[in-house]
Amino acid sequence: MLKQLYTRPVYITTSFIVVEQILIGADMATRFKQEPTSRHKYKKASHLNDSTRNTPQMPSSSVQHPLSGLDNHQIPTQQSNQNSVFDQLGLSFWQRLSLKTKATTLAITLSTLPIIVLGATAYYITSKTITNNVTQQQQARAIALADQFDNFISQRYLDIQNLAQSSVLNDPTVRAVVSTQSKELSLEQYIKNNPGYDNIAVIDPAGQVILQTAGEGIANYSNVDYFQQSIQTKRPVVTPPRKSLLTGEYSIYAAAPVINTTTGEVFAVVRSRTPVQYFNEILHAEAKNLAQSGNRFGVEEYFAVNDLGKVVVAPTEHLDYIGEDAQAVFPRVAPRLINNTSVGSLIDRDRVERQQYLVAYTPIQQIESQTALNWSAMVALPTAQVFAARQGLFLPFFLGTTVFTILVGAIAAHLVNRALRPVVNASLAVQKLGEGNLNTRLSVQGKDELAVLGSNINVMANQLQSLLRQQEEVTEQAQLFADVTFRIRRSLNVDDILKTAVKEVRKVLKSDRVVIYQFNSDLSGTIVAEAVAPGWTQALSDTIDDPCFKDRHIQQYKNGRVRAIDNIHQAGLTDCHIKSLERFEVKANLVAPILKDNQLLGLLIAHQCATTRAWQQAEIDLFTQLATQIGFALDQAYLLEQVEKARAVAEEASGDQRQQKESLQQQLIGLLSDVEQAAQGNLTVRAEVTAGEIGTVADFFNSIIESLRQLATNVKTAASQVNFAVAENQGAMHQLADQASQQAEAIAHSLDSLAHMTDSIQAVAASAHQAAEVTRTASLTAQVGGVAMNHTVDSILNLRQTVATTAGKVRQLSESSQQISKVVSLINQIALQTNVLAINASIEANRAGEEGRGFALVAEEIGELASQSSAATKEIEQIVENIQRETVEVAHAMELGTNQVIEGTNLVEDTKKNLRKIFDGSRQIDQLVQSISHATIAQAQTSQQVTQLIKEIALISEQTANSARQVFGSLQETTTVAQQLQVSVGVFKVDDES
Amino acid sequence: MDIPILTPQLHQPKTSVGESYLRFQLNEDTPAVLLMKYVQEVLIISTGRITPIPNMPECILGLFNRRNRIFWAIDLAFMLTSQPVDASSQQYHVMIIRVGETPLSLIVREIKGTIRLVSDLQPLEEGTATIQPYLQGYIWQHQEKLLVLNAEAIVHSPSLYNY
Repeated sequence: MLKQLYTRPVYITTSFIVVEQILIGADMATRFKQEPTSRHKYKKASHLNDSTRNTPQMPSSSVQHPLSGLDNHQIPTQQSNQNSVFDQLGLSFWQRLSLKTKATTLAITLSTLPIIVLGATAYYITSKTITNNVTQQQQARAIALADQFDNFISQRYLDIQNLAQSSVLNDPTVRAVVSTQSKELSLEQYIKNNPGYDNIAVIDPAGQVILQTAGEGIANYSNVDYFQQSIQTKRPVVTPPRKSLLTGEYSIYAAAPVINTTTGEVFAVVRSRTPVQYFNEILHAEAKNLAQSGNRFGVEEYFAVNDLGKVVVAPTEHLDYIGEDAQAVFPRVAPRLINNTSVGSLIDRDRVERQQYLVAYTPIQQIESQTALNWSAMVALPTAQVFAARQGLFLPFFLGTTVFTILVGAIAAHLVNRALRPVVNASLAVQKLGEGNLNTRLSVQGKDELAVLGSNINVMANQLQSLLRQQEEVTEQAQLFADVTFRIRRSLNVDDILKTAVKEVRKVLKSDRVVIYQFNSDLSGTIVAEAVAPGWTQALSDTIDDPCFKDRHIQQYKNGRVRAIDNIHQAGLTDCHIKSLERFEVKANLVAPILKDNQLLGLLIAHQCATTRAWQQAEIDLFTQLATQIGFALDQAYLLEQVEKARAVAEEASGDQRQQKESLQQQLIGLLSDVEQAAQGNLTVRAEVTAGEIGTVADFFNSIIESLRQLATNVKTAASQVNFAVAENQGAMHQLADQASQQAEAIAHSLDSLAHMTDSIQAVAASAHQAAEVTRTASLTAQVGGVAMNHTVDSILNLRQTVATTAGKVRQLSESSQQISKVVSLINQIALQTNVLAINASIEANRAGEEGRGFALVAEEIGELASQSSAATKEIEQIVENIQRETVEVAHAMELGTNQVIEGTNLVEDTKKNLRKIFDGSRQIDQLVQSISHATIAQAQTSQQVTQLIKEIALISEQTANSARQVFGSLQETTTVAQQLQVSVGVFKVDDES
Repeated sequence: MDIPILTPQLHQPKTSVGESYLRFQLNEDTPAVLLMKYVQEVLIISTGRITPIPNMPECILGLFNRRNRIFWAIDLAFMLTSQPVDASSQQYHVMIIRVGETPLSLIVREIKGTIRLVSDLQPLEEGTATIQPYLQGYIWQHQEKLLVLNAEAIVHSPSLYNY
């Protein structure tokens, strides 16, 4: 719904009525748009008026249209479904609100929102403008401050230049004339004339102070940078404010070379010192003046920050800021000052005072002929003061907007309330109708849509009432019908049915007389049942032969026609018909046919005798249905009567059968006496064959006796044949018995032979067992041999080990002897050297002459000993050589021994293999012998089984002999039986002759 | 095993009569002696210490240095018997002799030691022509024929100067 509001801005702005239309429903709104005239109607519509009740008196035809129109409006859910643009949740919440709330809310919102927005926007723009103004003003002041600072520095520059060019200093002639004291005096004078300087000094190029005003100064300037710079460049220099080494204050130093006017040499430097404090005071005095001279804000605070981020200029109230870090004072502004080239503003919180300041800052421009200063000027004002005007603006704006909003909202709410009242009333009425209070009506005024809606609701209520009444009547009739039908059908007797029917029908219709008129075969009729109110003529059993009636109407009644006549004199009846009716004082009548299988049984007739009567359709219907029910009941009753009749006919049929039974019994007795002799064995008797069933039995009987006779004859013949055959067989049976005993004997003989065979088999088994023993012994011996061989192999291996160890030892011996020979050769070498030394010693001794004679002798002896030891070593060498040779031989012998041992091992191994073969062979033999023994055992068992079998055969043959004897006995008995049979059969009389 | 030499009588007094000679083997089977008074020093040097000098007589093996003095190394065996000293040996036995002012180093097969001999020098028989000029004679001792060499003759040998 909101969406629609936005998509139709025309309605929003025009009037509340449009809003209402939209609120009433999207469809309605659409309809208004389609029928522009209806809006005017609506405007003129009067509200509900209690005095003029406009109850609906509309013709039914005119009701139809608004009803159908109303249907379209009574489906709000369908509407909302179509508006699928709404958020489902929002919609459900919105739907829960009452129409009035919705309309009021929307109206208030729409009327107040623009005012609030307008007020807020106006306030915002005004405040913004003020802020901008203030900021720009402050920025302008910051730039002015920077310029002022610049000027100040420039002033220093110009001053020092002037001073340097004063004749007192630079003209040598004047210099010479003027005394030092007067020079200093002139400088003091200069300071007085140009306030701001606290010290001026003249310094010679070596850095010594020549002249100086009051105030301290350092002794030697040769190391001071501006001093050096001014000498080098021969130009004036102004330093940025810096901390004075002496006073500790921030000061600006200016230095200029004093150039000899005649020679052009620099013979001194003049330098001035200005405390920044001075500049500071001037600046803030000016600021205060500015503030007092009608400026609306408070005193602005001026700051300057040097390239190191230290505050160097601060207002007199905040002199303690000087030397502080700008970061410590204005934390947000400080970072922007670094490398800043443009003017800017910022609101920052003074960290020291904890107060909000609007701070404008700008870099100080490059000072004339100076290097970049990289300083910044700042102008700060407390925001409370700056934005005082803005604060003052807020309250009037707020109050004005609020008051106006409330006013407009109230008007909107009132208007909505007025406009919605009829709709609410209609809604209430419909709700009451829904609760069942159908007497509720709306008072309708005017012709607008709401009036139409009201009248439609009224019509609807009326219709509902009448419909309800009809419904009740129908129900009542149905109940009545059910009761009557039940009573009629309670009995199965025709008379009872008819009587009950007329009584009940009269009760239901409240008529004066009800009769049932039954047609006779000649289409005349009789009144077979009647119920009449007391005081009126009785018509029961009256036969009415009405010629003017039967031809014309019977066919129509057969087709189910029901005839209702409100007044017999006005129904256009024939005179004879009226006359016959008047006989029973009839004024109005109602006739319905009673039909059964499309056959007209009779008529159900209700008469009104007192007055004429307008028959209601419901009464006619009920009457018709009752007539039909009476037809059904009669039908059933007739059916019952027919069944009763059929039963009576069936009982008559059963008398004839007894006579037939008696004649049959007599015939049976005759038959039995005929065949009596057959029981004594006379098969020649015959029964007499008569006509009828018993005759057939007798015929059967005769044929049975005939068959019996032939059977007896056959038995006789067979018995004699059996006697003959048995006599023949007796010889053969004898023979059979003899042969069976012979067979038994032969079998006993073969049993003996088998016993012999078993014995020999057992002997074979014993031999095999012995052979197995022998081979087992051989195998055992071979195994023992194998074990011994293993021992031998182990010994040989041990021997091999020992030999190998010995060889190792021998090798060690050889190595040792080699070492001995090495030592020996060393000794030999030593002996040789000793010999040489001895010779040399003796040579030396000889050379010494007589004194060295003794020494020479000793030397000779030493030489002798050396040669002896040499010889001894030679002998040792010989011996060692012998040892080595022998060890080599031993090693060789060892090797040979090892080879032999290996050979021996191989031989033993071969032997072992051979033994293994022997062992295997003996085992195979053992196995073979064992299998032989097994086979013999199996044989023995088999022979035993054979013996058993033969014994069984013997037994059987004996049994056979016995059986033969028994058969012989049986045969003899058979002969006896056959003879007895012959005698028995002889009793039957089969031939007439015998 | 019987080793009598291994147990020598260390302080056996010996006869110290006669001239003192240096005894050596000229080659395998030629013992020889030289008067001690000509001998300055004996020593054993490795063959590598002798530097061969080209264009010299065959008996001169080369030069060698001894206590900062240079000596000619003479193969005495080759000089006397035209048979070179055993070249397979790694050491040379050297005796430095001095006749007058001329020092000379003679390489022999083996220096045996000093010996004192009573001079019953016997003259040489003819036959051994090459060795003849350098001999004074021979002395029989312990069934050995010791050649007694003439030091002066060796020093002045023409084969040393004829080149």
